[in-house]
Order: sequence, then structure tokens, then C-alpha cells
Amino acid sequence: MAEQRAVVVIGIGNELRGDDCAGLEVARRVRARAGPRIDVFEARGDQLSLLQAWDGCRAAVLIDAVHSGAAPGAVHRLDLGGAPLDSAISRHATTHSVSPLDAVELARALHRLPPQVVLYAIEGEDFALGASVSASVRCVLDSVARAVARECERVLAPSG
Amino acid sequence: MSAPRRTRTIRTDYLARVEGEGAMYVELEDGAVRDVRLRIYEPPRFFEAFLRGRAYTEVPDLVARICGICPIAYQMSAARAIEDACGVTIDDGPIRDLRRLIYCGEWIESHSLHVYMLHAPDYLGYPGALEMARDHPDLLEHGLALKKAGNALITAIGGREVHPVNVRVGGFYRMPARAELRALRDPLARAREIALDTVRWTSELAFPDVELAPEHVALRDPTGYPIDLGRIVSDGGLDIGPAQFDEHVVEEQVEHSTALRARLRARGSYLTGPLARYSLGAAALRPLAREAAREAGLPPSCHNPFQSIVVRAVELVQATDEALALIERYEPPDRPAVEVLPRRGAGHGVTEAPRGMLYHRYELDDDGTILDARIVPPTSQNQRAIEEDMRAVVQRHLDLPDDELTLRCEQAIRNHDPCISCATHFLTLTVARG
Repeated sequence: MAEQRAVVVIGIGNELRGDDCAGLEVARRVRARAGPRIDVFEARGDQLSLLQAWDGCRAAVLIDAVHSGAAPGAVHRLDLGGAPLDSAISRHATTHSVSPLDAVELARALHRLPPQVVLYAIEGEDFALGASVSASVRCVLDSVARAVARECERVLAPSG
Repeated sequence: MSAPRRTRTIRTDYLARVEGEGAMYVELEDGAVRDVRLRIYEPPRFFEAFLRGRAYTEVPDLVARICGICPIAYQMSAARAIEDACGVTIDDGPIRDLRRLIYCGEWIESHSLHVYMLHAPDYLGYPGALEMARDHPDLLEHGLALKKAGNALITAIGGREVHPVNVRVGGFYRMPARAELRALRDPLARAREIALDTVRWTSELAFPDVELAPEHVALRDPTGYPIDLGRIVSDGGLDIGPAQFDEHVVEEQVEHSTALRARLRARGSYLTGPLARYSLGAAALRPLAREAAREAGLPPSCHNPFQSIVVRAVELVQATDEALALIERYEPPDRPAVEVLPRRGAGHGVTEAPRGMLYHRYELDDDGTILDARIVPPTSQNQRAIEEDMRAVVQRHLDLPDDELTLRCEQAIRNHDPCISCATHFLTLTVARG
């Protein structure tokens, strides 16, 4: 039987659309810092791939860029493992047919959501095609990576 | 004194459960349809322009980026067009087999997504797949299992499931080992069973009695159901080679769309995709898929867009069954690609993307530099027919309140599985009434 994985870090985004790649950038920083101890997955297109990425895990930490109207660079931490999300949040506009939060709710309905799921949402500023990451987002990437690594350590700890 | 005109506008600014960003606008005046627009506002992407000046060998990897759902289709049409320009033909043998096999993976992936996640909620009365999953988790699990089988096929041959990296002009960079493909047999056999079940349950759905007029256009391949090559034929008598596409298909700019709209010269709108493929090529289906279509009660020629969900299910049987047969006979060749030397000239390639015919034309310089490129995706070809379908839907349901009419129009659009991201060089719904 395959060994059950403890935790997976999932960076979500499109590296060709400016701040939208914030999730990917954080995931790469976690990979560089933690090495093979932590599974890191980059979701760059099909969001249904999330269901496979966290299959068998006790915990998943997602990082994605958002545009909620808060100040650029603001970081929101959302616990998705508990109650279903408000439909107003999960039905946000997306260029993909299935949004990451739809994938979370789909997995919850199918009992395929890990018990612990946390989303780090980084407020983006510039999502234009071909744009580079804005200064306000760039300056929080390291601190979010450290916070994500701490989430993982808590899961990996013997008592976790 | 004449009575004041009564206008009614229905608009949806962001269409759900379609690929890409588009809108719909319907304007009614004095109880008649005045204007129907499928607005494609996703920004134009200028692929044809930036391909100019690139090396002919770079094209398959560049055009794969046009679509996250059907990158194989772009790679295959591009490779065929460039090979055509260079005087190389790959019409049989293990390289062609492997091309069909990876293309089967893309059909399985795309059709399972559309049938289960995007289209089924319209028939079962849910706003989306998520709400459907709470009551019908078994259906969603089936859709995900099918999709996973398609993904695995693409990953095994293409190197990764999104924007695969193993396709090149002349063939592949690396041929998979026999054992790598044989490992996919069990999940594909399971996927084939699910596909057969998908035909059964979709055939029992309630379909409105609707027939669309546009001419059906698809490839015809003398060796089987059309995927990767063939002549372009229609139920109106069209029978041309890929090189004649430019002569027969005209693309036009319209103000409300960042996609070009195509029509057949001197004939008008046409429809490409599963309905056309099935109607023109049902006899070429593999026996298992043909029998599944017969048991489902599909007529030999199908013009009802609502039944496209059954046709996609039949094509899922076709793709899974063919994939298993191709794996069974697969022997890696000595070389993964044939040599394709550049030469000055133009080449044409047409293949059947899951959503319909995808045409590429390239003009090469002596050293293989791309001088000119033309790409006509299926959604550009279908846009006029979709708008005509919407117009007929509105005309039939004028008495419905705005919210119900909006839903009918959205369903009519989803029947055609438009891929707006592909078509932009091109969705949201507005209805105006009076």
C-alpha cells in the first residue's frame, strides 16, 4: 500500500499574468527551503488537478493570488477544511471552467478533501498579460513562504 | 400616431461553464428578435503575428500555449501543416499511431470535462457541477475517473498533462517504452466501461425537439473515425483537401468579438465538432462505439445540438476503445521522428480538435523561418452557427421571463462547447426587450 503523504503545498497561478503567479512563486520558495520533505505541486491550468494533488494527504496548503479590493500585498489566511465556503466566494470569475475554490467544494462534496486545508491568498495588483510581479506582491513572497513552511512543520511534527 | 416601440434587453456579462471569457447580448423589439451577439471580449492574443520570424521547429511548442484543454490539437495541426510545407507525409506507421493515441487522450480529457462538469448540470437542473456533486457524487466520480485516464495518456506520451512537451515536427522527441503504455491499459479499460455507461445515461435525458440548419463540416479519414487527418467534407457536398480550406472558408471581423467569424464562401454558416463528425462519419466508428450509438437511439445523422452530449459520450467510447487497440499493437520505432528538412513554400494541416476542425497554414522561408501563419480554431468556425442557434432559441421562447430566457440561451451556447480562449484573436449574456 502506498505510504500516506502528510502534507502537500499547492501553488496556483499563471506565470504569464503578472501577480497571478504569486502562488507559484511561494510554492517554489517552499520547495527550495524544505527540499523533498514536503511535496510541492504547481497548478498552472486545470484546477481539477487539485483533487489528484492532495489525494491521500492529511493536509494541503494552497497559495493563490486574489483580487478582493484589499491593499496590494495583503495576505489573507483562510481555513477551508471546516464549513463549506459561502457561494458568493466560491463562484468568483475565473478564466477557467473550474476555479480552485470550486475544486475545494467539489472535493468536499465527494469526501475527497483533506481534513486540513488552508489557503494563503495574496492580494494582487497587476494581472495584465506579460506583466512582471508587482513590488507590493514581491515583497511578501518570502514571508508567506515561511508561514506556509510553518504550517507544514506543524503537520509533520510527531504530535501533528 | 404610432405606439411607442417596446424593447427588451437581456445580457449576461460573464458566461459560466464555458472555456474563456465571453458574454451574450440579446435585443428584442416589439416581440421580435432584433439582435443576438455572442460577444467575445477576451483579449486578442496575436499568435499568428508572433509566430512570424520563428523557426519551423519551434511552432508545435508555441501553439500548444493557445489552449490548456486542447494543446495536442494545436500541436498536431501545426506539425502536419509544416510537414506538408516541407514535403513530408506521415499517414501511417507507429508515429501516426502514437499521434492518434495522444489525441485520444485529449478527446477523453476534454469530452469528460464537458459532459460531466459543464453540460450535465443543464439537464439535471443544477446551476453547476458542484451542486450536482452533492446529489450525484457517483456521476462526478465517473467524470473524474475518465478525465484522469485521459490525463495519464497525455502525460505518458507528452511528458506532462498540460502543454505537453514531447511533440515535434516529424514525430516525437522520445517514444515511450511499451511497458509505459501497457501500464495504462487497466485504467483505460475502466474508462471505456464508464464511457459506455455515459452513453446509456445521457441517452435517457430529455431533449427538446430541435434541429439546426447549418451545414455539417468535418474531416473524412478513409482509415477510420476522423482525428488526425483527412479530407474536408460536408453534408452539402463539400469535398476538398486541406490546401483548399483558404479558398472555401472566409473569416470576417465583427465589432462585438475579438474572434474572427468564419463562413463557407457563397454558402454561409456551418457547424464543426462532434455532431458534424458523427453525422458524416458514424459508419467509421469502431464497432463498440457504433453499437453504443445504435443502442442509444442516435439517428445516423444528428442535427439536434442538445444531443451533442450523447455524441460526445459515443466519442468517449471511440477514444477509449481506440486507445486500448493502439496500445495493444504499439512497438516503438527505431527513431522517434522522421527528418523534416526546411524548404520554401506553404503547407496546410487540419485535424479534429475535441470541439471541431482546427486549421493551420504556414508559409516557410528557405531556412524554415515562418513568414506567415493562419490558425482557424473550431469556435471561430462555429460562432455564426451558435448565434443563429441563439436567435432561434429566443424566437421560440419569447414569452419566457428574462431569467429563464437567459438560461435557455446559455444552454444553447454550452451545447456547442465553445472555447473562447482558443478563438480570440474572442463570452458574458445581455437580453434587451421592448
